[in-house]
Amino acid sequence: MRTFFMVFGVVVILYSIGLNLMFSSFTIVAARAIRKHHQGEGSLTTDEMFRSPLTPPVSLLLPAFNEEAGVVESVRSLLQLRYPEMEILVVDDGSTDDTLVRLRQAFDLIPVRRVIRGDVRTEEVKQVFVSRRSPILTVVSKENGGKADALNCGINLARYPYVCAVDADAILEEQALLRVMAPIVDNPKVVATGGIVRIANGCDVRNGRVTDIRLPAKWLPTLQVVEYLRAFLVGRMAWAAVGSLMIVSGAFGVFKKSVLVDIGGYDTNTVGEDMELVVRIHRIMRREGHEYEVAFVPDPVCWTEAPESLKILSRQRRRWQRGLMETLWRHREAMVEPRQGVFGRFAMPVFVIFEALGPVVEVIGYVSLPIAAAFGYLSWEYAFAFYLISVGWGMLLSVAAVALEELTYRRYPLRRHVVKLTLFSLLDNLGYRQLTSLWRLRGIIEFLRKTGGWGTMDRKGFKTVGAPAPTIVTTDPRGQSTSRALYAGTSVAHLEEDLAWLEHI
Amino acid sequence: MPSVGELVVLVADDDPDILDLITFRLERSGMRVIQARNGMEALEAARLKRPQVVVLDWMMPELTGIEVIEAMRADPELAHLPVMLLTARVQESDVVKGFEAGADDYLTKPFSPQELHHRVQALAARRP
Amino acid sequence: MSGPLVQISLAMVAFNLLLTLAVVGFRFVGSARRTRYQEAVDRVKPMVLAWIDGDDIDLDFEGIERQALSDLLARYGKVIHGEARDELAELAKKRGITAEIEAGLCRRAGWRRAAAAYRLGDIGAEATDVLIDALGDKDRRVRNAATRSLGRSEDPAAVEPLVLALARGEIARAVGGQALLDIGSAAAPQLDALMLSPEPGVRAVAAELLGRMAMGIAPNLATAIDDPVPSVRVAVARALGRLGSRSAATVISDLLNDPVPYVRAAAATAIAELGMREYIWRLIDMAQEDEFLPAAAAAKAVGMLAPEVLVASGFRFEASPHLREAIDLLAVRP
Repeated sequence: MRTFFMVFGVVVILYSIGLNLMFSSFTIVAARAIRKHHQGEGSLTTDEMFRSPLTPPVSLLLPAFNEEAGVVESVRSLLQLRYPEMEILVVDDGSTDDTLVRLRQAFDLIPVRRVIRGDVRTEEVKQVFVSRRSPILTVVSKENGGKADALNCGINLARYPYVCAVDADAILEEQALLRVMAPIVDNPKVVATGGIVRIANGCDVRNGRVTDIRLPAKWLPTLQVVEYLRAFLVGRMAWAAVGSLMIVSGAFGVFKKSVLVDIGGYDTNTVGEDMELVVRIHRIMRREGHEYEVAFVPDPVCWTEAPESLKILSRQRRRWQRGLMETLWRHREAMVEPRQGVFGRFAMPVFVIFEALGPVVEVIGYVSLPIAAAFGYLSWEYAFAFYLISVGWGMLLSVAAVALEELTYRRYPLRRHVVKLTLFSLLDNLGYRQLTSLWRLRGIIEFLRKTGGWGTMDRKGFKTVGAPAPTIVTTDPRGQSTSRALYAGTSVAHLEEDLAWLEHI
Repeated sequence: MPSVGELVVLVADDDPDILDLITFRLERSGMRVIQARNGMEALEAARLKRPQVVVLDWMMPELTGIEVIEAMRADPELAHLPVMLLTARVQESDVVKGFEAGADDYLTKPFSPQELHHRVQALAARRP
Repeated sequence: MSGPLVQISLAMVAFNLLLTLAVVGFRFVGSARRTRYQEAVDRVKPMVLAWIDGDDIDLDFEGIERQALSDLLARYGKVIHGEARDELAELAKKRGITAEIEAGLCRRAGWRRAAAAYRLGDIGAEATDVLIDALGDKDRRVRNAATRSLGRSEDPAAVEPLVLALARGEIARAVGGQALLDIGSAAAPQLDALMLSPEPGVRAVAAELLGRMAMGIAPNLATAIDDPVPSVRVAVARALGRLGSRSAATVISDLLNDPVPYVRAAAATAIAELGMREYIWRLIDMAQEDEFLPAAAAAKAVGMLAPEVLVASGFRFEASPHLREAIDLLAVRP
């Protein structure tokens, strides 16, 4: 018993030191990268990208399932994005409410018999509409198949060489698309990019834009503001700097379409399709020896409403953890496969140790230390000191993230908000982080239970590279669908021409 | 031709530097300038302050320049107000879109304040 | 053993509190500095505006006001052109601001060099030589910034280094292409000469940009239509289509038989842009029988050439999905 606690105590301590050292170095890496990005003004102002006819066109994909309340507003907000050439594809994923009706009323949609490429297999498309008011808007109505399936359907219809997945409830910055496309304009080897997501609670939102930036009045969302700063400004920035960014936020992320088609699109069989996709991109690109990059822009691109109740927050965190576990489990072999480099040898193991198993170790640590002390296996003083150090170190990292925001973007204009934010960065290690660890632990348990043990998880297997059995679905206004074989090639001249152009540059 | 001294010009752009430059040039030649920072403000100012010429940026928050023109053309009081569109876009199709919406003239950015001034004068002279 | 541990942990907590205070303090100090800077900007601004407007006033500042002057020149220089911008560049030169910025091109930090290269373009400095040197910088941001500023300088001497950098992938294509378009007609003869380059990448870039310059057909552009590299043929077809000269008609129509699908698609689009109605039946056949990409492009081309013929073709019961799609899309894209 005593030896057990001794050994375990050492494990917990080493783990904790490892974790904190890791994130401390991440903070330094991120700070350097942000400094470089922020002060260098970028190579191009967004204005010049906007002016250039050579800025690659983008297809925005907006999946919508029972979004009648907000879908029209979301589309309006997308139409206002500053970008030289884009199209908007709304995919109504078999909504049972009035989503489609609202769209038809608002945008004067007429049915068209679009020819759809069968690049990625999806549920059947019922009808395609184009707006007479805004010809760049296309609405697709399909059988329900989930968010990933809706995105895949969007990929099939997209005309342009890059696609951008957008969440229906994301509030976008006007420059969002120009900002996330900047790394691609700079370097065509970039196959996926994302930006910083911020929390909109407490801010003034008018006409689909955040007009006045405030901190939330409530505790829970304020703690999440700090948490998001840590995750995006430090975590993702650092991962991108070492070339292994594993998550491009589903709320607003750009991908090179040809790559998505090659790897078979989004996986419809996980709750974390955004992470799974990026991990699969890394794995396949590395396995096949392509030169590629997944980039991250430390500029704010979109705002999202954070959960204000414990119940919903807990559900969100359990789902995130489950998605994370599923992805890591499915791609576990990347850790031993040849040619996986930094991604397979460093990023994947770090994610497994600190993100997947983190909550387990943390919770056991919190429980076992006092028990060990109570039984006299450990001095109280020692347990107390350990607790203080790990909390203190965590605080340090949170404050550092807030400091990074203060030194660069300074998006919160009021002084008292800065004071509040720094205070909350001290508080977030006293209870909130422990609470999220508990939720994440529950997510892990759900993952284990849902899959009935580790063995059956790999039910779907790994999608092989290359297009799935292709079909064309032509849908005419009378609702009859026909299918026939598809040739190699893509929909509109523009895309291929653009790719031809890319070949050399 | 109305006397230049009485000319009231509405200038709408979300870039304060551009507003500064235009306002300085036009006010120096005796025009009165009303500034607007977004499309909504521009439309309100057009309705309330009765400018004689309007200079609109294409890409503005709230309402784009094109949307402001369309709203103005739908309003009988403002339908004949001469409008110049300032645009960062160089593509021909965009210019056509601007004229189709009802713009009377356009100028691409970067622009020359002197040229803008002369064009505003010409637009004012063209008024019925 | 545990005594020092507790001390360490307490020290850590204390350090955190200090850091917190530092962050907050920084905001207060920072905002005081910003206020002072803002006041300087407000003082200098009217004078700069008057200078741009042609007034001959003495603009000589020290310290924070000089900084404000430099920033204002860059800000205004970015949005204006013509005589006013020349005034501005002259002022920057006279006051030594241009020289200061040029010195920034030798700084060690990449972002400082990039910022300098960028600013040289904003204030309209005559700095073609140093900017061309900066195209060889090891930092990509510096190269891109120099590219953009060379475009703003509109100096034809920059054309060749820009095209080469573009073809070698050393600068971003949107930036390099835009810079060449900004230089404009002066770039056309050199771009045409580059159509004979042994590098296919260089030929494709040159063709693409020539097509966007509306300068008439350059001699080497039309002859490049049978280039061995498909992406060059596409670029040439697009350029000829855009330039709208029917003298290129027969060469483009040959591309309808090209073995590469996306070349056939580009040819169909170019034929529509040139208004060559005599190829309409050929295009309908393509829309009917060719592969996805050329068929879609051909159907769209038929709609552009003769909507009524496209609609009529739809009555054939075996009309291909591509024709039917193009017919439906006529309603939204007249």
